Amino acid sequence: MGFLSSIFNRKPKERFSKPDLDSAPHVKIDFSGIQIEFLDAPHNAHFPIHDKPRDLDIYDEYGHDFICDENYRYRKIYVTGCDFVDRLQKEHAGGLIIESTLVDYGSHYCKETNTHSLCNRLNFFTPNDLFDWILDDCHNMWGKQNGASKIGDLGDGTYVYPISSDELSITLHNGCPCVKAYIDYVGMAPEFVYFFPISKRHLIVLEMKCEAYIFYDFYDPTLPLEAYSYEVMERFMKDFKITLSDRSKKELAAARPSIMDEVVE
Amino acid sequence: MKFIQQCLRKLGMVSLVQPPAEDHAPELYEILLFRTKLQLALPKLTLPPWEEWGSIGGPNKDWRPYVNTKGKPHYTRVDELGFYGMGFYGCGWQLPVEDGEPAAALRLFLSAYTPTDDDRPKYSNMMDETVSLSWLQNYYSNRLKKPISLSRTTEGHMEILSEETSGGGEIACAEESVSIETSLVNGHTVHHVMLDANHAHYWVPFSKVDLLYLEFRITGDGLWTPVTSRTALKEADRIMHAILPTLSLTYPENEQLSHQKVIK
Repeated sequence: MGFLSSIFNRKPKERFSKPDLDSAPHVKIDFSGIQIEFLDAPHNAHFPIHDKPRDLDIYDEYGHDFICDENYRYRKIYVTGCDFVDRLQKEHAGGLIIESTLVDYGSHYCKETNTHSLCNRLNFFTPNDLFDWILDDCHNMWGKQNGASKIGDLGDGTYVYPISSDELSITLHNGCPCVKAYIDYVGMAPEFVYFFPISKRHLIVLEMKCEAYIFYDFYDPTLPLEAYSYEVMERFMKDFKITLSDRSKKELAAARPSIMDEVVE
Repeated sequence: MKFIQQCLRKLGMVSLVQPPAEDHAPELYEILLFRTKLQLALPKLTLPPWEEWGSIGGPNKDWRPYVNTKGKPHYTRVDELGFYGMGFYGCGWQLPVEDGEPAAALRLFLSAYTPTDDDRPKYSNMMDETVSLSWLQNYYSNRLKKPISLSRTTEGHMEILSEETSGGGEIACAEESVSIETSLVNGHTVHHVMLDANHAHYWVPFSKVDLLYLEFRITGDGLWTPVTSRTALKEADRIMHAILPTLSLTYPENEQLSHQKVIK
């Protein structure tokens, strides 16, 4: 009877599928004592994943898999794509790409000796250094695509992104300080970026890229793409938690001025 | 219910029977121009859907309930006239004519226009009346220099028909500039251009970079024959003046509300 009632009372399927984060596995990784916890959102996007979450010694100057820039090195620590599938058209309509990158600004690469050395030019636990880096990153990521010549310039393109520290503020996300940025793409699917300073030289950059594939419009009120994207994003962020290591806590406590003095509700 | 009504009629109790509803009530046309809601009350349409009109052009489909006028993914660039644009609706009415006069119709096309990227710095805020007027003067100046008309390609985009290809469908104007009248309709700035007796254009800026374009065309038999029937022109004028006062644009209270909720 229970079997029959489960068949007859079954709700009709929604036209668009959405990932179920409530049943997603909970992941906990350790970056030299810094604990990062999050839900491993189910990946069903068409692109392959190469970056699986794993423990790292983030102070290891010779750590593999880092991409070295002139002034810093970085590596992806987590990439997943949660697509919404249109069951009617049998195609992927849009989705949310969650991408997390570890940035290490304390390591300086020397081409001549092919080695890394420590540098202490920046302290991400101070507001100025944190904001300057974020604005520089925004300029590199979207400003250059907009044709902007320097930081503080929006250029002529279609991206709208932070260009001044007045647009940035520090909040606490599950107890950990972070800066959130909203990247508008004029009428197209937007991006959300969370910057978490996890040591005075390390940042975790968490990007949420909303996607609407061809023939689908992210803002179309007859489609659930916008609502689903924000729902998945909110569910993912609800469980995303960073707990600083003792070493990072000491660095945070010693920072003058401190980002903690700038925290807004 | 029908049976009861028939009985009441037979019994002479006509006053108890509701008269058949008049089928001439205006139809509410509603579409979201990104987050801005456009509403118009349209008199009952008496022409078939514009998709069946043939080569007169118009949008590739009825875009209701939404068109992305912010991202503009379906806009077509028309450099010669200095705009990007797309049509999103068309409809029409049969016009009465005197005995012996050829058939006539009034057709309405709705489109959204925006200046090209090159023109954006010059026309930075279309909500400013002088800016939108200046853009319109430039638009008509370009348009009248070379008689052209817009039509629909097989892919559904708008295209310019040259004099050779349009089969005489272009709007040929001897004047080199047009007279633009500006008025307020329900709080919205409306620029009115009477191109000739058969073509009336209304432009309504609805964002810093966007203009709503209501194009009324009075067409004769064969679509491009000029209409001179006084009866037809009078009725067309009545319909246009019935539609215009119903124009309503409702702007979003806060366009970024949904994302702000997420980022909070």
